[in-house]
Amino acid sequence: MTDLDPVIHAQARLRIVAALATLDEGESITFPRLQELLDMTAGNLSTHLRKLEDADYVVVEKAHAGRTPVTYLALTKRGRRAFEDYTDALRALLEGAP
Amino acid sequence: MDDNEDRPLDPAAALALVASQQDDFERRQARSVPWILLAWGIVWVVGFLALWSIDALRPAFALPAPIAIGIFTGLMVAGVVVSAILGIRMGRGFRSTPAAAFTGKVFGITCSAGFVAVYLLGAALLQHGMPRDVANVLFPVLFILLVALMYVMAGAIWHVKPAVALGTWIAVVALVGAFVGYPHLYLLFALAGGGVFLIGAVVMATWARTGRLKGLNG
Repeated sequence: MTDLDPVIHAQARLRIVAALATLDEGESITFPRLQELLDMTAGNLSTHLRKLEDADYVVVEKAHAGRTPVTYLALTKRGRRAFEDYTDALRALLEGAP
Repeated sequence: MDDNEDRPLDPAAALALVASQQDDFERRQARSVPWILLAWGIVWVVGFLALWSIDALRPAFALPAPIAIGIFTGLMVAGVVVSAILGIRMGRGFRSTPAAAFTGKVFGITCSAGFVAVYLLGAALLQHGMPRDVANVLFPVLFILLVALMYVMAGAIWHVKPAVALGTWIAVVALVGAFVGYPHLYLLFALAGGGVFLIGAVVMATWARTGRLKGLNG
C-alpha cells in the first residue's frame, strides 16, 4: 500500500490544504478569512497551520494593512505538489481496490 | 488538539472530503451573490416598469417622465452601490496576483468606460439628427447589450458558466427589444431581463445554502 503523506492525511489539515489549493498560484488569504470560510476555531487552525508551515507546505506572510498586521497564507509550490501527489495516491489506492 | 480532526481517513472518505471542502469553500465565498442578483432584479423590474409607464398606458395612466427617469436612475445607482459593497465584502481577505488584479482593473474600467462611450455615441447621433423614437430604442438596447457583453466576458475570464448564460440571455432580450420598439421594449426588459436576475437570485441562494459540510466545525 502506498504511504499517504501524514502531514496532509488528517482531517483538519486535509481541509485546510484542499481549501488553499482552490486559490490561484500566487494568490493568498488572510488568517481570519480562512478561519471563517473553513469554520474552524482560531486555535485549531493555527495549530494545524504550524504543522503545515513546518513541513514547508504553507507559507505564512506577515504584512501590514495600514497599522494593522495582517497574516497572509498560501500553499507553497511544495505544498501544492504534495496535495496533488496525495490526491493522486488516493485515486490510485481506490482504483487498486477490488 | 482535537482528536476527532486527526483521525485517519480511508481513501474514499479522504477524496470525498477534498471535494466537499473545496465545494463548500467556494459556496461560502459566493454567499453574497444571490443578494447582488436580487438587487439587480429589483432595479430592472421596477426601473424599466417606471420607464414603460411614461407612455405605454396612455391615456389611462402616465407616469411623468422626470419621475420615471429619476426612479430608474436612482435604482441603477443603488444597484451599483449594493453590488460594489457586496463585491468588496466577498473579496475581503484575499490577495490576488498582480496579473489577476490587472485583469480585474481592466474589466472594471472597460465596464464604466463602455457606458460612457455608449452615452457619447448616442449624444453624437442625436446631434446628427437621430429621431427621438430611434433614440428611445437605441439607448436602452445598446446599454443592455453592453451589460450582456460584460456578463459573458466575466464568465469567460473567471470561469463562471451561469454568467455566460445570463449574458447571452440578456443579449437576446436586448435584440428582441430592438424589434419590439418603444415603449413596450421596457416591459420586455422588466419581465424577461429583471425576471432572469430574480430567478438567478433564487437559484444561487439555493446553491449557496445546500450541501454545506456538516459536523466538521473545528
